[in-house]
Amino acid sequence: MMSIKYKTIIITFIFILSIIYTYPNIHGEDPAIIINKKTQNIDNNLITYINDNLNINNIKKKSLIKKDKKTLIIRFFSTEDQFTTHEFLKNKNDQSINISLNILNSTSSEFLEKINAYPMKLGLDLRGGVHILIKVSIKNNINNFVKAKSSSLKNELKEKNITYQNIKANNKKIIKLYFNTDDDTKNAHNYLKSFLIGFDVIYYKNKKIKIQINKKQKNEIKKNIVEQTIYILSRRVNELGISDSIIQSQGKNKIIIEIPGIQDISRAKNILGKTATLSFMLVDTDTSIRRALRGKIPKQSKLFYQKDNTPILLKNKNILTGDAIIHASAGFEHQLNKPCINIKLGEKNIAIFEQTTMKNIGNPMAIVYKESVINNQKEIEIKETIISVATIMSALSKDFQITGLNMQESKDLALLLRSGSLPATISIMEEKIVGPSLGEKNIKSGLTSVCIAFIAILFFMVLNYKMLGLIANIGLITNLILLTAIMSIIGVTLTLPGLAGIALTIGMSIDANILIFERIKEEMKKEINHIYGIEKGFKNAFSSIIDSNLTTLIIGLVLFTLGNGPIRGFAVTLSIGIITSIYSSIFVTKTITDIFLTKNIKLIKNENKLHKTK
Amino acid sequence: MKINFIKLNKISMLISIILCILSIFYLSKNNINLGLEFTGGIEIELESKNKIELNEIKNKLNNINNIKIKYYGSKKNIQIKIKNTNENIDNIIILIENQIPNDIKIIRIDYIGAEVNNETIKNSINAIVIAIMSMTLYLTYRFKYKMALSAIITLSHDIIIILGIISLLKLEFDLTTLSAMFAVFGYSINDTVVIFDRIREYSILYKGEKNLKEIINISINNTLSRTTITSLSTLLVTTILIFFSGEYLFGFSIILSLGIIIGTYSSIYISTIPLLFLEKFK
Repeated sequence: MMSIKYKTIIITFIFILSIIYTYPNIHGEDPAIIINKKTQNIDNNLITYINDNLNINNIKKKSLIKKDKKTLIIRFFSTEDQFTTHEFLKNKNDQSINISLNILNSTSSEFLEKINAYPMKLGLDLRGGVHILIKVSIKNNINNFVKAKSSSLKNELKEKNITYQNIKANNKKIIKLYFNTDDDTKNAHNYLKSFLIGFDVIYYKNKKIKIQINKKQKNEIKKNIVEQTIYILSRRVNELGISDSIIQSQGKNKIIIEIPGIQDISRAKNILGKTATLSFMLVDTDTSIRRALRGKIPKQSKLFYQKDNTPILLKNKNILTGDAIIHASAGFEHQLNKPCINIKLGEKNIAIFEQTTMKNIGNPMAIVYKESVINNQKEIEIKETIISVATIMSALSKDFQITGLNMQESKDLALLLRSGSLPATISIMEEKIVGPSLGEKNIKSGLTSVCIAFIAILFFMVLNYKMLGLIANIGLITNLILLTAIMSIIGVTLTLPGLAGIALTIGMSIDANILIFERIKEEMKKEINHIYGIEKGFKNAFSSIIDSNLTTLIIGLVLFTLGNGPIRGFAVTLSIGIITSIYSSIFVTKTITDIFLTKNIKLIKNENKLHKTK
Repeated sequence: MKINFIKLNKISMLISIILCILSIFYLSKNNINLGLEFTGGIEIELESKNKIELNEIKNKLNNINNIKIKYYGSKKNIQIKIKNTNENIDNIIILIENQIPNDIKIIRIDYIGAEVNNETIKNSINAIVIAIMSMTLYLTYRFKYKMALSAIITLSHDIIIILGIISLLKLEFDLTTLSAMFAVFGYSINDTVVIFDRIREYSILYKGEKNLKEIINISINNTLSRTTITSLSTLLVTTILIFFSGEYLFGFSIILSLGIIIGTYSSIYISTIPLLFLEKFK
């Protein structure tokens, strides 16, 4: 057996450690805005402007700190204040600053950061924000992959001198190969058997081979597409000036996006999910519109309608697509007095574009906005809108501007072009939005419940068990602090059900102590020696405590591994709570009782009285 | 003070059978009011600084299919629920935003697409089955299989009655309610285990001296104060949750509270009945 001294040391050590890790939670996190000056240093004008506007909007700031020469951090008491401030800063339309919404730790001491002591992250139900679950439709990508493979097979077989009659991909992920002779079929089969990756031969007979894309390849495509989508979504979220967001995959083809407190949700959603790109096409001036409207459209052209519904015939060949654009920004065309998008092309594509536009000086060119959406029948549909039609005045090169959209549209499109286009169409499967005011209400009611429950249990124990109750309460306090510390260390996201889980843990954890104390009372009836009685009480209650807690722990763990959403937050707190309460009731309470027993006779007298009155 | 629980067996069995039959009756009559996570659909919470006229809102929005509107927590909050809908969420939101007065604000939107709910149902059923199975395994390992079986029978009894109460009170059965049910499973098993633990201990202590009925009776009596005090302490917390944790956790807290009462009742009065019955067939 460990001596009391060592136990006390261990308990004190764990207690101090848990207080350190719990500490950051007391202050929690602040909603904040970080302002970055792009080139110059922060000047006093900006600070005065911010302070004046804060006063006008009746906003109390928590602090305004110049972190370095170029960075300014404003902390707020509520997310609503943060949003209002963000709004007026954005309206200032100051191009020289970057503004980003943040959530920062209130206490940033180097020591705490060094030992990784951070406050728990708050779930969306407590801080407000958006949770979106999206599904990536990979069907198209697989089809494209199969199609690409079928055309590359043609070259591969040619290289091997194998003559084929026809190779075609049908939309069921299968490629059919037809041959003229059995020899060719056999050679092709041999070739496919040894060099074909990602496909399986499913039919080989009668001058015909069928190959089908296999699961491994499909999963690889899925994985790649999901990764790419996550990458682009993250870029878009960053472009929107939101930090602290979570974008991660769930399952094979789903992605979770969690954004704390964002005010313009519909815009964000619009931007996140868009698979939009631009395409530059020449206008077909050889064919008259009238002929085209009568259905006589030349093969290489396609009929479009402009915004005002006038028809226009475009040559169905992209002279430039969105992928060629390496940078885009919204701006203002002063000559035309219109909003515009400044486009910058990548080196690779400049030459061709320059040539094409040079050849076509004087001819009109259309800029088409293409967007794939999922329609009601769950099919992918490509929507094409013409943004503008303009005559090419000179050869276009690396930098040029396009007009035809309003300011907001220009900004959004520039953002989309900057972040790159999504590799697949996505659809929203689940969406949860919690307003910041509701989040604050939730955290208030959650914390109130925990506090009241805690105080109620403290009283309950003292009323029931007097001195022993006080000892149990010390155990309960260590339990609560340890629970918070562990949750902070392993980075649990605190949710409202999680808070309920903490409250419930407080109520249930005391059970171990009740088991022990009732057992002690029982033993006291038999024993004359009280120290021995208490010892026996602890000992005999032990197996009950372990059995009953382990069964609950099993439930907690099952809930954790299988559940999602609210279940998970609850399961985590419940499970950790069980472990900490076993520690606090068996180890902490026992040691404190031992200390009292060896040093203080009063406890025994109290115990005696308690025994007699009952 | 000693109570002869064995003598009360017949009465408690009668009560439990009636409760179970009533539960099954309500379950078949009312069904379970499944929450959004299981049906898919849209849930929107609106808030105003002033009292909201429910009928006014209802009249304005009655052209939306499957729409249900009610006060939520207070008269300043309402909840709009549209289950089983194929409508586009954004269209619905725009429609609602256009119809409601300016002082009412949307503070929460939950949209769950039709594809998610099948997965949720599957996961939930898996969770229940695996939880019960792993508990049975653990209990069989720690106790005799007869005790394990009795504990599981008691648990099933609790589940039926809780489901009955959910359908009687027309509480919504969503993931939060489900986690409350799980907590009750844990609690109920916990209570039963404490009693069985004592039975196991006394079976060794009084081997040959006392028969099973007597052992069970002493065990229940000796753990009685613990059972009641723990129930009271936990009930204290869950009652606090009912009143302070807000509308969102209301159903959760109600189920926890009622579940604890049922769990306590069943471990004291019911859990040993199947044990006695099973022991007859040695």
